[in-house]
Amino acid sequence: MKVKSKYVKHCLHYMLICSALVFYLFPIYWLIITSLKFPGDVTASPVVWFTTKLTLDNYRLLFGHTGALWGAKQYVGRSFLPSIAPYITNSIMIGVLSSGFGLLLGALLAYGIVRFRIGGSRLYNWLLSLRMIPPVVVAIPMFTVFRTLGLIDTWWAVASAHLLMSIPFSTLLLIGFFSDIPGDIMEAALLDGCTNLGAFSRVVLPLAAPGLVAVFIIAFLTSWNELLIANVLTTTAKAQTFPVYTTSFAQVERGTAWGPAAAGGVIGMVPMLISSFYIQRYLVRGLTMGAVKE
Amino acid sequence: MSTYRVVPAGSVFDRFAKHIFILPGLGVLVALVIYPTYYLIRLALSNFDLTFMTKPVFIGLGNFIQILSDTYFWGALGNTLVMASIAVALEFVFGLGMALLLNEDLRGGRIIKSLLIVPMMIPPVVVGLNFKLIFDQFGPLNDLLQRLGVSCVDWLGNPLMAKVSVILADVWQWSSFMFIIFLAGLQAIPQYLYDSAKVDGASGWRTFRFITWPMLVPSATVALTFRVMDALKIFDVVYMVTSGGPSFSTEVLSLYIYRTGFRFGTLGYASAVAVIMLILLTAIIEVIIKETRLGKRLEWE
Repeated sequence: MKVKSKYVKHCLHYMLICSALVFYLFPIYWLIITSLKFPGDVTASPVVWFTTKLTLDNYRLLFGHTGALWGAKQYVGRSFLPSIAPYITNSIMIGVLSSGFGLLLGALLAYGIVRFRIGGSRLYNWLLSLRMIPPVVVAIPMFTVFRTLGLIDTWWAVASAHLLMSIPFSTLLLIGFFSDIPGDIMEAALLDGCTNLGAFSRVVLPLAAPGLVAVFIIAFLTSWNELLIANVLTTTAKAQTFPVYTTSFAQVERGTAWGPAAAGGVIGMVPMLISSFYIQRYLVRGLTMGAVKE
Repeated sequence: MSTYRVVPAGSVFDRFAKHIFILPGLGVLVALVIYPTYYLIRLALSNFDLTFMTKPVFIGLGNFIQILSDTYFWGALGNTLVMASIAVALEFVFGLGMALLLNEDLRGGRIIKSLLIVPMMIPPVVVGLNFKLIFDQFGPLNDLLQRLGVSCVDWLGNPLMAKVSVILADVWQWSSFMFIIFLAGLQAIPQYLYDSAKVDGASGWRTFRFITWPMLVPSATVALTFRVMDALKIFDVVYMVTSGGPSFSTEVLSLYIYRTGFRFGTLGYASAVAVIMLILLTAIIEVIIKETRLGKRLEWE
């Protein structure tokens, strides 16, 4: 009797996990399969749940392929759809600029805070409260300021607006990573005649290197995902980022561009998929701005 | 501090080291926060229309008085609060449930864990796009309902169901956030507590109530604080899935400010709403931070 109830419990356990997996993975499956379907299958009724008739033509279309698509030379949608390539470039450049500068300034600030014990909980709370500011509140004054400076529709405008997210994030996380370094090591370096800059660059940074990489990646992903500010500060393909490009698919009528839209969505997940295995260890820390350590 | 006096006072850099480390980052942040905040307040107190005005004209508290009787604003505020609280509550339950399920040693547990946290890392725009496909009238969700013998639901065309759709998309993306924080919290609970409970013959529920839950409270407060922060500024998913419709039933504050400011061009009015949103959010978060003593969780204090 006891064995049987344990067996039932075990089965129930696995069934619940399986249903959670279906719930969380089905939408991702759906996006990927939609991006690979032929146009006819995308909007077919009844719904095509699974098919082996797959192609990469939606991706070719997004990258401005001019040859035949789905076996037809003249694809009507082609003329409406700008190539995704410049948007990807913009996203990468803005992401690298904002997370790179954010990491540099954040590391200096974090070292200063840890080494000289400046600020206390008030500074911590202030940095944390910056995480709370809604992007839309930032977007309005940033827009007017950058318009006056003539910087609208440049990488610099979006990247410096994203600094507002990446500096506090990097600082708070690196405070945690730097505090993990035993104080003896730093003291030893200082006693051996290292300057603060020397101790920082030759002792602290190398020891915290894995953390620095994780901070850079998470800050990059945050910038890559951000829509509202990027949308407000840009107007053309010169600086518009990937999420801004994606919004153009929300406006189209049902079905017209769903294949390419799904393909764009899959492309948008690529940076996350590449880095997910590395950052998993740091994710709990990163998402809570260092408040919880795993 | 006396330990450090041994350090040769060599370069000029070292004498000002404190300032050189602190000032660049803090300076940039202050510039990015202070000036825009000042500008936002100035705009909020003025009448500024992007389409035909070159300079803001000071009108005092006019915008704020107008907001008091703006039914769209109150609607958006109500929608934001309702949708955010329902979504966060569901995410809490789902996240805790999954964490409890996966806390035990399971075959493939690590892979399942890394699969379950994928949704949270997908760009919200892509999540919105994806759910637009799924909630479509002839999409997979309605197809499934039909196969089960239930009638189709007009997910995005009906005011109530549109709210449900947005909440569902948010829950899908963010319950994994709660999940990993709870899982980290669960794994930090020492095994001997469970062992002693077992010796005492405590039931599963009592073990959870008197051991697991009290140990989880710190992670729960952190997870809730961050989710509440983000849920109140929800924008991307709503923008993609419903654009606030039908008939403003899913209009949220961020979207309302975005629309009034950048679509209709009434930037002065939008700034006033933004100021109110900022004050409201600050108040809510301030209460949470104070209640949970989040600032004290830092070890360098």
